[in-house]
Amino acid sequence: MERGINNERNGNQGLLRRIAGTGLSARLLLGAALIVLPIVTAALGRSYVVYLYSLVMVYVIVTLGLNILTGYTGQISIGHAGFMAVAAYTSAILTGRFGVPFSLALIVASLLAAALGLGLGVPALRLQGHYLAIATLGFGVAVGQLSASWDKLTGGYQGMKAPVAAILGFRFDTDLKYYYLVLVLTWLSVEAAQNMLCSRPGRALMAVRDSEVAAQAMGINLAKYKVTAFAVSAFYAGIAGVLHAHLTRYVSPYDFNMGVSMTLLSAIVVGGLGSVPGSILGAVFMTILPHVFSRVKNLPLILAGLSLILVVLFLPYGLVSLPLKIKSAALRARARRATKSGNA
Amino acid sequence: MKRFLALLCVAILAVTMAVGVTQAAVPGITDNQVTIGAFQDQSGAAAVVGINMRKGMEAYFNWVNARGGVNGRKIKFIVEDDGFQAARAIAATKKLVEQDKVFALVGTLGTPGVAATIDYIMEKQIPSIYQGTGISALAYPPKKYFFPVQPNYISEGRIVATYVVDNLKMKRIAVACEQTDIGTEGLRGVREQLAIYKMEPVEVVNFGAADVDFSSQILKLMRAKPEAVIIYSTIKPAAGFLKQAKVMGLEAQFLTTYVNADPIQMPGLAGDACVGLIAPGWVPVLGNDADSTKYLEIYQATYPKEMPSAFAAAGFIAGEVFCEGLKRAGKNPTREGLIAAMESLRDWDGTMAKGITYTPEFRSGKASMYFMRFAKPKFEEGSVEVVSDWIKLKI
Repeated sequence: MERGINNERNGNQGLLRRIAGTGLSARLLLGAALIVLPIVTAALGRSYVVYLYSLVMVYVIVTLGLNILTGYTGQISIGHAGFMAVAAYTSAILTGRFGVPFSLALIVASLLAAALGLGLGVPALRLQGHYLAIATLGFGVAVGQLSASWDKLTGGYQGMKAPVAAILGFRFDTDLKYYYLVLVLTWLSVEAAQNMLCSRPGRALMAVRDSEVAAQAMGINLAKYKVTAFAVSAFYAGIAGVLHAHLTRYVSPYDFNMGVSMTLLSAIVVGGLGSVPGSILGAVFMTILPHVFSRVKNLPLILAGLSLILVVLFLPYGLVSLPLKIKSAALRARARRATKSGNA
Repeated sequence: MKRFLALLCVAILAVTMAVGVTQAAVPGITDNQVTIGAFQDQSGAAAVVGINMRKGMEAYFNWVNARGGVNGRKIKFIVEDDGFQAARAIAATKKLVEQDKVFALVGTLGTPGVAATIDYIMEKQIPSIYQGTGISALAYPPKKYFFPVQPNYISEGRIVATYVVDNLKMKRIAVACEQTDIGTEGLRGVREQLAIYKMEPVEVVNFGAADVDFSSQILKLMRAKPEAVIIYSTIKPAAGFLKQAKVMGLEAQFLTTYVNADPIQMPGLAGDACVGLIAPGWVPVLGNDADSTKYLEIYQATYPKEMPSAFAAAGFIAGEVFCEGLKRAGKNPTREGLIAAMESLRDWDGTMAKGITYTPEFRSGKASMYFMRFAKPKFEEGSVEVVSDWIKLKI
């Protein structure tokens, strides 16, 4: 059994390399497709879908961040929307009230989220399992309550506006322009995560997840890596929060509530824990689902729940392991047939 | 065969182009149909409101459509579920406007979604009738494409002040307000209206939404000797305030916002301290009158044997106001025509919608409310009595 798991995990890594880490030509192809995608969509008369693409990519970034923490390091967080909220409000306040340039606000707000992640990571060192879950839950709820009641700063329940993002005088004022901004940042986030996870720190995080004792025995500084994972994860959530704020041009407590945190958690489980392509698949799945079925009463919730159950039962490594599962099943069937004919 | 296929292609092309042309003329309007839409939470935090509001609207449109529609056009109503999230409400609005080409948005629900889509709707110039939120940003300053119906706290505060001065003939008016948008906007409305009478509140006290002790505020009020105290807060502090005022012996006529006019919760929280409390209402109470009977009949034609909730009544009103505007917009409605038609409504009464007024400068819609009084310390027959007619907002 152990061996089977390892095989599947290695398979995952192989798939991962195949999707995002392979040769230049494959990447160029993917990049070109993503550049042309919104233009084709708009030409087909579905320009609002371009907005959805951006929303999906925003969720890809934060899901990836959560997967670094939960999937790779084994630390649960059910308050991740709180980091998004902090960064979203920070950027909206900095750019809207104080005229700070967007690019600077993006960095400051994401760093603030990372600092909070660091702050939450330190007490989290002493917590595990349920206790860590409760602590992060508390953080998420507290941010939501605070942003709702500190209305001088945040506009309370009425929310606040966020201005159009602009870099060096170029205003990202249409869905199409904003799409490319989000695409660039998403691409950078995925590349950075990929590189980090495939190098020494990434292996250290996975070692911490698989066995803290063994990791320590190999000379890995547990505290350092756990806290860093929290900070990096919150930094990703921060970038996503800022991009969310300037995509919708509006920030309110409702967009970063507990429901959103739970959706993020579902996304990494459905997509694939400890997998970069899995994070992407999960975010796409969980973001697109409610929009596809937005005209059918209650169906999105039921489908989301159902997919979660099905994945946990039949695809413990998430949607990302589906092709591999099919392949291995086919191989096994072929082997069975081969032995049968051999016997005969 | 090839020729047949070619002919078929040409035919399809011609038909789609013809449809395209009529659609391009006025979005959402065809010879026999008007397409409208809204985002309403069907699965999130406000699903109870969204589901019932949708029922009220659907019941009304079914009834209208069964009678041939408005000016010969049937109404097609599309609901997008936004889960009470701004990001999803924006997607829903864009989908409705750009893909479905709706003629107007009717009955959009939820503060986050409505607030997040104001700029987009103004930019695309889509008439938006009835928003399920009390935010005053929709009416102050007035916005060309927005026709709010639900009273906001500012216009409500003005109507409450009018009632106290004109009907109760009281002059010494104090306000106790919670430090949230309810309190600040309600107080603003009361002040604005009293200024018209050349008066001002004799005392204003503040408290937090989570406060449980109001003794210092009540002492301050007792020194000011008010005849009437208007409590602008959510229901919990309002009930706590009433209880403590009774214990401390502050004797005055208490009034509160329509949000707290809950015949079950208010006595439940305040007990006998709520007896005598007066609050306004804007959705007519169901009685034995002709309008109530008609409303029930229309609602139960779609949802047999079901009693409509207050949210269904709100949806019903949204449908009524839109259909009246559409009717007045004439045989060939345009978006600008609809806006002109809406601005011709003056104190208009429908079945459930009462006293609807719009001008280019006045966009609060609901320009009248009636008042009711809590008569008994618990919810039973006759525990709430209506004590006034419709009180109009003086503008």
